[in-house]
Amino acid sequence: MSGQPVLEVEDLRVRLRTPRGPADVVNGLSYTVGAGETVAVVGESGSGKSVSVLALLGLLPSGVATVTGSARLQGEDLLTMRPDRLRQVRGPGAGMVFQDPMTSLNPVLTIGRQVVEGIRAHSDLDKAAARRRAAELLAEVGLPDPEGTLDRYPHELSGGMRQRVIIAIALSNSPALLIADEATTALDVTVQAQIIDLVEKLQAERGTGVIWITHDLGVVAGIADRVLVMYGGRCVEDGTVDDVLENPVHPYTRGLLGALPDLAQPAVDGVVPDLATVPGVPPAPTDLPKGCVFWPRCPVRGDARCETEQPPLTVIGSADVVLPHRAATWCTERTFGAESPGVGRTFGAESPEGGLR
Amino acid sequence: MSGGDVLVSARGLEVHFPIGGGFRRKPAGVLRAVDGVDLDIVRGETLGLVGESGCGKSTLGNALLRLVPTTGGTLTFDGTDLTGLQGRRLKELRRRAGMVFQDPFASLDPRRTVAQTVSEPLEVHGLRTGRDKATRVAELLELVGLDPGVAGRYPHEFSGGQRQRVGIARALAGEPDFLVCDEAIASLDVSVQAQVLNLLRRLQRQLGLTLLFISHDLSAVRHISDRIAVMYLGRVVEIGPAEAVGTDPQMPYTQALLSAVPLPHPKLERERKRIVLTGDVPSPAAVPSGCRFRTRCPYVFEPCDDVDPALQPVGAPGQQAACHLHGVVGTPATTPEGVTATP
Amino acid sequence: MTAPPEPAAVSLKPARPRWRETLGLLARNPTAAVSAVLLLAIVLIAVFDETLAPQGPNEISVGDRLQSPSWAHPFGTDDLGRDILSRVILGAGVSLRVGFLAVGIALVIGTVIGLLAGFYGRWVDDVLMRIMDMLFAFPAVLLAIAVLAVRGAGSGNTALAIGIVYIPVFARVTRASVLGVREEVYVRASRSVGASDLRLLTRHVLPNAAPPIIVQTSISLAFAVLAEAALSFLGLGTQPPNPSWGLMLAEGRGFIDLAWWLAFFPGMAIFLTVLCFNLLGDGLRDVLDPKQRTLMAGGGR
Repeated sequence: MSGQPVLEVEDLRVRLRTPRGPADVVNGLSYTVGAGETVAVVGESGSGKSVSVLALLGLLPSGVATVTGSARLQGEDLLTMRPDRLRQVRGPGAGMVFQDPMTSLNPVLTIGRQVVEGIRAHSDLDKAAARRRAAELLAEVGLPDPEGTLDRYPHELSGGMRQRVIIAIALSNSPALLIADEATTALDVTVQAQIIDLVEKLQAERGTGVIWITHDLGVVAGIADRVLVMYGGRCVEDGTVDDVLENPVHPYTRGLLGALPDLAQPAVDGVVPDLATVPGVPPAPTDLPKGCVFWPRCPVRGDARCETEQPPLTVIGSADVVLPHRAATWCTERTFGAESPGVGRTFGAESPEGGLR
Repeated sequence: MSGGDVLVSARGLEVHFPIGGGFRRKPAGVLRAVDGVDLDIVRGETLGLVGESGCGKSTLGNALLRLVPTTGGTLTFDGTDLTGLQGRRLKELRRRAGMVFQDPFASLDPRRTVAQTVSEPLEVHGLRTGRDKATRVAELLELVGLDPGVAGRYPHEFSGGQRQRVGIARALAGEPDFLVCDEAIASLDVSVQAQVLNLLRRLQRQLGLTLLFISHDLSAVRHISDRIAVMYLGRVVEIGPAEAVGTDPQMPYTQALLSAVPLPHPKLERERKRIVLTGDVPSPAAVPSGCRFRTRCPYVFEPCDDVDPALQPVGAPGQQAACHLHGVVGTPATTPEGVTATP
Repeated sequence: MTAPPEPAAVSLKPARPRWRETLGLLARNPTAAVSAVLLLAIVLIAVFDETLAPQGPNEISVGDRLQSPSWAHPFGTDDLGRDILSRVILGAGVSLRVGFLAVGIALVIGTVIGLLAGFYGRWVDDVLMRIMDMLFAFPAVLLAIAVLAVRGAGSGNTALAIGIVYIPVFARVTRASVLGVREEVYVRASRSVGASDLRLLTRHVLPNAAPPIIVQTSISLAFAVLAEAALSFLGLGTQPPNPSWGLMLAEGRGFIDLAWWLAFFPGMAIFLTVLCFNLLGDGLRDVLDPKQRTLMAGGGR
């Protein structure tokens, strides 16, 4: 968290052309990732969390997406970069791990070919040296028998092993930034624990900045230094992981936390209370509401401006800290605390989803 | 085992699939998806079935409804033997036992309207016709929290949560006693998961359903279940009251599974010790001899190699675990096929 | 949410019938729409051929032999002085009847075989598809000639011959499509509520497996019209003096340097019909693709 940040994103906006009209998928996102820091981007499907990082690396189809704002990776703006330079940056600058370990690897090439290819694209190692380096990398991500694994095909490996290979490829050029997009969502919890441990270990060794995109608030609590909650293409709340998860301010964050079945404290007098729910469904990016983006689903709506004006991200509590806790809401009710097991329980029990869009 | 009236009962239930093979070709091996499951589901309870992918929990759920053929053991539903059930009696089972599937985008026929989907059980079993049928469909849609006005629409016009409600309405149309929810919330967003969980709980109470809730999500299972059964490699390795299994698990696998569940409490997460299992789950085509968890178990000792542990009462009342740490009970490994563990 | 206190009966009819949506989408695809309109015109011509034809097809007028196109005979006349326009119009009926009949035979038999093979798999699949392979491996023309040799020439038998040749094509397309649909969760879901195999096949599997079969039907119609022409050209299909496009092509062949219109107009008729069926098939392929459909219809998640 010291020195120059690895990544500085400022006012990132992404508009996609769709058959149903323009979709504002990301609407003004700003954050920084420091060396050795893990920033978790949390949101439900359609919140724009994945698109926002695909946009950073120029991985959105250019004819369809319009990306504005700036994103400086170690001082260099990714968004205005020439395509050939961007390709150079993708390996050593920023590595990426996607959700599906089944489809991220080419099924007809051996693991060795794919790892070596990644190494050779950004270095002048000869084939034999690159292969030795590949074996080292596989050992580093904890694959048993790294030499043997090099000659195997993706289908011969389990999901967890495949995801390790993908992490090895992403880390092969010692990137300053690692982006993990739902990297453990498809894995079992015991394997997820292994992968999270691995990433934390490698990050500590190398000082890599990590952006961890997930919908799982449990994973966030375990790995993140800082959390960004996204909704409708906006950051609605950010701050340190303790601030956001223990002391959430935005009604959406509160709703999301209340909706989680909690292994830690379920029964009250032998009766498990119903979960709090956020009524309705997230808005379509082609059809964002006027006013506060969460307004149509918000159970509070305590302010006249809710319906008309998008609230800016404002600092909650002290601004004199490294990472101020910010939220974009007109809601001023702050009476609930971390001690309450029913954070956001005010949202009422089972609420039917709204009518059809 | 808690008292009460057992609705579904499995003894030594096996579902084995041949690997490869076909017309005049010998199968290359056997996949032991469900491999000797003993399970009683009590009328009116919600039993949670957890386990990781490939442990056979879905296959077991399907086998209980005779949606996959069983290859061994016995299975009864309300006293009726299900193995070998045919024709009209099998059809009656399908009315009395419903299923909710994982992916609400795949489990509804895209070419049929909500009304057509929900009314299918009514038509199949000849329960309602004409105007009665339409009234019943409206009733069912209201029951699951949908506006009956949407009956004429196609699935693609709905969100995931709404589709799942349609799936639940279909499963309830035949007024079943027993409902199997196979990863019914796994494909939904967190806030929608909560809606569906609450709905299932309400329906279970309101209709007096017996619920088998299959999921890989321990938090959700803990939330909804009265009892929890943990599966590993085709076998139930621990079962007991949700509170007991959730707070004081007796089987090392359950302990590891619980410790690996990430909790949304940063402070707790930092203090918590995680039992990280090494290696992967062995293939159900090559089940280790003796205890099937021994290749990943941190406490492995001699009897584990040779003796296949049986469920035995340990911990809280009604809790059972299959582990030699609580005394060596089980059948010695004398499998003639010579199935050995892969390290 | 509007929740009436007493649940009223709902309409079980779809709000918007699916076929109408399909037609609407097809209308937005210009090539397919034009093809469909042209085909409709050709079918209408075939139906009302007697009324539309300015002359009888076999009215011989020796005085008017081999006349080039004119106002009196827009497509000219042939070596016997018969009006080519009339013969092309009446030929439409012969060609399309044979085409539809042939594809109908292949469609019904092939789809049933493919449906059973794909749905039941195992030995049913093995037995049925091996038979199809044998039929498929047999040279198509030879097979048709064999059928015609046994049953004798004539348009009915031509249709039967072409139909038999196309059975394996439909069986394969159907089977491939069914193999995908059979594994769909909604099929299992339907089974779980007690639906019989017959119900699964007719209500869920066939409707969802239909798009490639519909496309294949359109394309096969094109091939069948061509095949009829080819067999007639070889003298095995429609027998003179009945007008058939293929037969007319064969008869006109000898006069190609003397009177081009003898072969040209029936040739154009074949070309246009085949092209339209193919383009319609392509259009249907796009329209019936669920992904495309969601995009175009603006539904979806």
